[in-house]
Amino acid sequence: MKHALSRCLFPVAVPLCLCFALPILGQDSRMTGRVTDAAGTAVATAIVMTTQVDSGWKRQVLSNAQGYYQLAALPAGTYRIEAVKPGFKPLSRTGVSLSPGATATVDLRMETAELSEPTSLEARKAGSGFPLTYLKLFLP
Amino acid sequence: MLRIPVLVGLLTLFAPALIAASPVGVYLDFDESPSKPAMEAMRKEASRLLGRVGIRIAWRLVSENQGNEPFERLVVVKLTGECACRGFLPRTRETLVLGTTAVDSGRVLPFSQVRCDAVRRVLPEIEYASDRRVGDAALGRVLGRVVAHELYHAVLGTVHHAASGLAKGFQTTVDLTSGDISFDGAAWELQPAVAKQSHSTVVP
Repeated sequence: MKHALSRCLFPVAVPLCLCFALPILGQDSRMTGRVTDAAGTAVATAIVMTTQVDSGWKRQVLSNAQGYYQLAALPAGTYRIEAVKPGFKPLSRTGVSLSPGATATVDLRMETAELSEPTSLEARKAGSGFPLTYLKLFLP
Repeated sequence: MLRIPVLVGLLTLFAPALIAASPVGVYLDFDESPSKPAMEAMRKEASRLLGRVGIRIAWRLVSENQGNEPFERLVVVKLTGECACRGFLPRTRETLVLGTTAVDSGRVLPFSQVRCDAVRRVLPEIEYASDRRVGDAALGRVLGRVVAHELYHAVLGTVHHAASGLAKGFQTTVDLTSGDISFDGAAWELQPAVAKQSHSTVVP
């Protein structure tokens, strides 16, 4: 009985699984590259943001110590790429095309930005004699 | 025999949903080697506070980053100074800056900084006198609240502070060391961001 049920379900289950799996396996495109500064030195710990233009689908990755990043399993399409890191001007690249199964190499060269002094918010003291601690935003 | 294809089918079927519920990747970057109990307590407290408003965190270390782990959204938190409960630092009457989040031309960048040496001044002397693990756990809990506050800015992309709760710009030592604290005052503000985050994860 159990074997008979397995024999009946197996021919149905395999195509069903392939039906769901193939579209996902088929979209395994990659994007890779290196983030550097204007002098070509690696920029580590920069956030690389990719957005598929048509769908708004997003993925982010952090560049490693040598400035390299890699994003796998990306759906094919046209992407906008941004790289951000404090101390550098945010970099944006549009119209990066990624075809199914392809690997696109997108190197990102960031320019340094001048940082201004942080804006200081008013300090306050507690009436109880304890200091008030203060969480503020850094405004370069 | 039948189990594996069925499991594969179910996984592929629900993969988009699993991706949609993906956590925010938070990379921690330390100046000095931190206390492990303090870091455990910090992660636990920040995860608890943000979990209440629907934000899940996947903790990572910058030192272990290979540059190939994707997240729908990620934030880098740099912890400066000594993140361990040793070397008592007396409280002062001055205002302490515990954490900051970077802003560029009005846009919040997902890069925060937490100052461990300033946070250590928040702890009462008794924590330094107690067992080191207890002191580290107390420090970690305060650090978790500061990290959660900065992640509020980084994840929402807002420079605004709330009038109450953990999203306030000013916190007292009492707020940070005793009892419970939450994002109550800003919960309404967090919800749209969570909804937006979920919406943007739809796999084409």
